[in-house]
Amino acid sequence: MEAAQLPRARPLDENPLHCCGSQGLIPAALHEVAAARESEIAAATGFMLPLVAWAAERRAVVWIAEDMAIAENGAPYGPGLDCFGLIPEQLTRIAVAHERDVFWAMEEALRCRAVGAVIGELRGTHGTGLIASRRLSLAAGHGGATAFLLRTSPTTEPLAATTRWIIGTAPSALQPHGLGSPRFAAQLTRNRRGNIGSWILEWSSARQRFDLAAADCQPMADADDNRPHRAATSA
Amino acid sequence: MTTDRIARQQAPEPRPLAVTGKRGNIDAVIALNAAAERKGLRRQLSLAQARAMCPGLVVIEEDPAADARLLENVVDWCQRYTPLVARDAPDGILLDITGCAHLFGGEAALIEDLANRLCNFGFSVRTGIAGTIGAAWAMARYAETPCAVPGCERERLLPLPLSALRIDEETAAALRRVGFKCIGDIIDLPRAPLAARFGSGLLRQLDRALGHEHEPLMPRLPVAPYIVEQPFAEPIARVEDILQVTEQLAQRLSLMLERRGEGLRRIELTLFRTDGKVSRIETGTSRPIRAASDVRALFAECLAALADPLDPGFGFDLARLSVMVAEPCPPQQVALDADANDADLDRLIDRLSARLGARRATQLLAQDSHIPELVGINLPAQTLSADTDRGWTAFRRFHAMTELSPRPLRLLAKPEPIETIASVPDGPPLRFRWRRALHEVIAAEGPERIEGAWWSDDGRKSKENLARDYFRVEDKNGRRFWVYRAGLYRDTAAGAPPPAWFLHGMFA
Repeated sequence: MEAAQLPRARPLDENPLHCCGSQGLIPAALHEVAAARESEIAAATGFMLPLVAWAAERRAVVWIAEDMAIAENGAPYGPGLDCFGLIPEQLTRIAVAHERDVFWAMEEALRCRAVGAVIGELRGTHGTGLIASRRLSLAAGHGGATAFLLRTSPTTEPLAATTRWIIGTAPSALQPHGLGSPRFAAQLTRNRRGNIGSWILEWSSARQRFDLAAADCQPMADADDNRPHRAATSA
Repeated sequence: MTTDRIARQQAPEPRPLAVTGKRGNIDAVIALNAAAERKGLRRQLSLAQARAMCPGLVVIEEDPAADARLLENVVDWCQRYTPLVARDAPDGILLDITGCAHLFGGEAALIEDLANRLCNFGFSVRTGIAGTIGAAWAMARYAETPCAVPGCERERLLPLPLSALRIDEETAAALRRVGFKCIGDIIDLPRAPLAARFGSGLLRQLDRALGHEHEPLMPRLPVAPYIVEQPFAEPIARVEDILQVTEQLAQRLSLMLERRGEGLRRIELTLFRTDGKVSRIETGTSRPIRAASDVRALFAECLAALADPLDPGFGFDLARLSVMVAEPCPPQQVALDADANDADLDRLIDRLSARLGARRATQLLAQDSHIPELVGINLPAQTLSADTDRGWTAFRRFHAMTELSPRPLRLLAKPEPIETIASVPDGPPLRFRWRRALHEVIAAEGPERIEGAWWSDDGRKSKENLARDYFRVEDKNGRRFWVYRAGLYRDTAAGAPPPAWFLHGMFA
């Protein structure tokens, strides 16, 4: 069914994930983006927004978030969105009290022709459920909008998503003064249409694209202090 | 009415009942039921006297708030007769039935229907109809027969006592003392001496009762410009039926709206339950609409989202759809290949707002402010139309011109305090603790000083108005934060508390 709904081709080198694989980001599908840790939710957001902006083209973007997620993670800040390619005018935010309302609102939004991308931000660690995610995935396939689930922390629950990403931060390239371009440790843990893998990506806001970070960057593995169980076993 | 309210809650038992309240320094009887009146009790008696006259008297403390609530509910219920219904505290209701009476088979039939229904609900009712509010008030309380033929208010008022003029008890007593008993006694007296002696209030009330002076009726609820309604011979209870009726009513509305070239922005569905309870559901749209199917979809979401599901009881016997706000909506031609994008998005926003609440669907607006939390604000999406200037174009131009440092992607609603260690007093932090986790700062950028609103009244004194030095910092894992120090170290010498550090936002 999804194959029949293949969208029209867009030049591959415009695809934000061009550097990660042959296919890049697949529009009109469900993608999950989870922060590796709760404190890295901004990185997950920053990784997701260029994908959202590309998928939406000039259409509207609906960002549906639980109240609790916004209170803990902070609200999307208009002046900062531009850098990642999303125009604040495109964005409509929906605040909901319960997780079930997130899925309901996402499905409604995906069915709307004027909407190009839908973001559902969840805080709970318990899974989406196969049925709910399957419904989202189908709604995305029919409506032509792309659905993104943004999570505060990764889950291993089964999910009917086309891709599942776990996004962490990576130290930026050292600059003589100031901060360099943001880098993401992106891990593609599931991909129904291609290969999985992990990359260190650098976002250039001037060129509005991701690039593979230079090889001289630091190792991708986390420092021990953030992985207490690993630290314990190695000790 | 007060005793009716209590009797409605208790088993019907014809025991003498009195409601008392403090009037001055005494506990006075302020309301009685019929059984107590038969025992010879009257209002204004002190409680001790009343107890002495009637040993079995049940006495209850007054509750003006409950009375007011009940009156409001009855007022709302009376909306089934006319949209112009006003409260006449403490126990009266005024209905402007001009142009409505024929719908119920004439004035007499209307008043009989109203009295019967209210009696069935357990109220004792007195009614009056007249051409003026004052005359109707007098009829209801003092006349034998309730109806006055329009134009003969004067004749009907003549034999009524002076209290029927809605004057205070003092003036009435003063008039009685000089020998005036009924309205007929003063109606033709010279006005100047009457006003000089008893005040102009008396003459005004007289003029109002006779219709010489206009008295406006203040309806409790705003009157809708468009109203359609549907009574049911057999009460309906199922949600699907309600929606079906809503759509039918909306179709009638849409014809009316189309004729006047308007569309609705706010609409209210009123459901009258057979036992007198009135439920109102109001919802809004982001652009003027007319289509009945859209109205039905909106109410479907509203009904699904009700926190306490609509309790139909024994069913609803009247449904009404009122347009609260209408706006011009010129007919438009739809192109064959039109995408209708804006309209689609508005429809989605309306549906989400109807289900989740209008404040929950928002869009970002840029404000002309230098204080970070005030730059981007959320406004309900329904209040913004597609061509409203969101202010971001001007913001971007300003940003490019001033070369401000990048802004964070996520901003906390309230900056969170952090514990920091800085190498030099005015420098960026070396490490800081936020939400109990320690972050080692590897690189920092800043400061960018953002002054507080020094021009506002409390100026520098208030905590929110301190100058802030913002730093962009990156910790050793690459996480980036926007932290700031509120206040300056040099002020500490002058006795100010040492500056505090806060984390305000997160960069990707």
